Amino acid sequence: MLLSTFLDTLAGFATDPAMLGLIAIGAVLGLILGAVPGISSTMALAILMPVTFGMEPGPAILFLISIFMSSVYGGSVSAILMKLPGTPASIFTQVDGFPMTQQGKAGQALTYALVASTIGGMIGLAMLVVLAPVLAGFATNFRSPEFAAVALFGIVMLSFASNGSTLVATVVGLIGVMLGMVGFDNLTDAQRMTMDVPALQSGFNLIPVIIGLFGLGEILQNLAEFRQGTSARPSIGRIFVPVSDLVSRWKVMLRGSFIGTFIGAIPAAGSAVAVSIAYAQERRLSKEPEKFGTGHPDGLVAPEAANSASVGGSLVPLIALGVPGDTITAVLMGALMVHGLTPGPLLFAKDPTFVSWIYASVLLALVATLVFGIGMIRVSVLVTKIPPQLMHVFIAVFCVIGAFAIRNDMNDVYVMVAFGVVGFVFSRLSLPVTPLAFGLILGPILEENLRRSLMISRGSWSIFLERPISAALIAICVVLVALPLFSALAARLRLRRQAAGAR
Amino acid sequence: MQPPIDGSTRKTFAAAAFFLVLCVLGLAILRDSRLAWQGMKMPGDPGPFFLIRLCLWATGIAGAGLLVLGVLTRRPAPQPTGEMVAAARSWILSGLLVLSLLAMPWLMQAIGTPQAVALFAAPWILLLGTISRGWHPRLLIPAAGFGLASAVFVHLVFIRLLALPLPN
Repeated sequence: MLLSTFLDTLAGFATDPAMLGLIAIGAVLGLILGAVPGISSTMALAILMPVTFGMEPGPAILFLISIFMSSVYGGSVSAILMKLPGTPASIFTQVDGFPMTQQGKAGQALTYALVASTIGGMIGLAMLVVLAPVLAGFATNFRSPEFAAVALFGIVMLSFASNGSTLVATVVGLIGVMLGMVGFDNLTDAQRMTMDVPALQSGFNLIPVIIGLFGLGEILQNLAEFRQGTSARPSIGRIFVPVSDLVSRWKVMLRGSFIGTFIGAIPAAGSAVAVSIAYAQERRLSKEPEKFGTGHPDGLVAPEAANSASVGGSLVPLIALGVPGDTITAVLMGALMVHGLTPGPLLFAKDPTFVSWIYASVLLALVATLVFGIGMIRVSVLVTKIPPQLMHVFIAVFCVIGAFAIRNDMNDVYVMVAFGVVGFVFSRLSLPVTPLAFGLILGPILEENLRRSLMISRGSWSIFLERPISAALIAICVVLVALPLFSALAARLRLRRQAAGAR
Repeated sequence: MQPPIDGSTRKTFAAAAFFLVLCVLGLAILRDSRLAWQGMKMPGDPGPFFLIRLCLWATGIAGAGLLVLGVLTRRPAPQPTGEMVAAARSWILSGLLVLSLLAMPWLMQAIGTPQAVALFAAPWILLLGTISRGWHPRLLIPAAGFGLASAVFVHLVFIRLLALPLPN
């Protein structure tokens, strides 16, 4: 019954010029706002929500979901072209996307990101349609021990996400975890490492931190190498990627999409966790892991597919349980409620039309993002032709305004500058920056749920092994940590045996 | 065996020192926070400082480990070539940018965001243009033009269109 309602709604939307116009406007606005550093998908939705107040529920959902879906890809545009991730989920997009821009492959990087984003979104939607009730049941089994185990899993995976020493990446991740806990403790009201500075009491806001670490850090690095005659710009090169190349990466897209959907379906885990796990997983499986971080297309495709697929995943708890999985779906839920639509457990039985509106809107928004995204690639890559001195100043201004815009607080500008210096120093010392940012995201999730779990079990750590999902995740973490140690040990024994044989 | 960070002894020692200093400083700051805290924790709760302390100790141990690895894999130091002096000199521009960005919030509140952006952008374009192509009075035109254009852009996009409450 739901399928026929969905097809009817889809046909209704797709044949109505007014609806198509709304999708187009929503997609273009979402792409542009998403590409502006400091304007997250959440802000884009919040800014444009009042526009829908006078609309009927159907068109309003269509318009809002168009903005939502296209802004997810839009966030990757600034990450690829300027190394300015607009959202935590685009941190891994810039890791391989920006080096591609520096190599004159900005158009190809944007094409990879757009196609992976669309495929990821489609798979996320398909899984949302088919598996929503199952995934909702899976997500409801998550309690504090499972959340803690997911966060731990994310931290373990981070060690494999960057080039160089795994030990160093882990330690940098732990520094990020520590920084994530600065400020008021929600459970006891203790102030941690605030040094009586009022601005530190609410902790570090993530967006100024990532703008500083990646955006400003890169500018400072470029200025340190700025010399006379520094005006060389990468050529634009070939814009699009051959279809055969895209098809050959189907496994990467599929893996990223599955990870994105499942992690996205866990309330509060969010797309940032999904992309970090997708990237680290792809790097582990790749035949050329050393090329990750230097402009490897798989390093761009996997997180983009996961990011977009996590949207479908995050809609699962929203639609099936009435629980928003993250801040973006919380804003979306608010917008739906403004229009008299309350997502929840009885929705499938009581109002299948509403569910099919959402499904059809997501599908059409993905198609619109692909069409307008392709159209905008040629224009977007022109950014790389701007002379470096103008670009540095332009990005520095964006960094300041983007950091301020998140919560209209000048202290965030100082935080951004401080983390810019940290990013610069880290790059001079060849320390990886990405684990720091992800530690900052995962730290509070890990701490809160670890402590809640221990309070429930009255201090017994066995609670993590008594529950099957957390026990399985912890077992995977142990295997992941132990495997490289065993491999190194085995390699050393093999060498010793070979040396003994030669003697 | 190679030094673990980038195959460089210098970077390995620098990272080890960074981790150790962070550990010592962090533990000292954390001690202050612990002494200032008067609250109670729930039964079973390891407390608000447990995980931070764990991370700091792990950082310190890793720093010590890197120090040992650095010593074990140490390579003979190259003859001084003035590289350090050149590196320090190359940081001047970055330091200037940091200082000018730190002044931006004050400037934005004092004279308004578009004006502050123009005042920030124009001198920087002039400075970078001079470094890359040498000084010429003609450089003043693009610098002033870019400063003005960026102020107009910020005013139109961020203040008028997106209605961000930037100081105006």
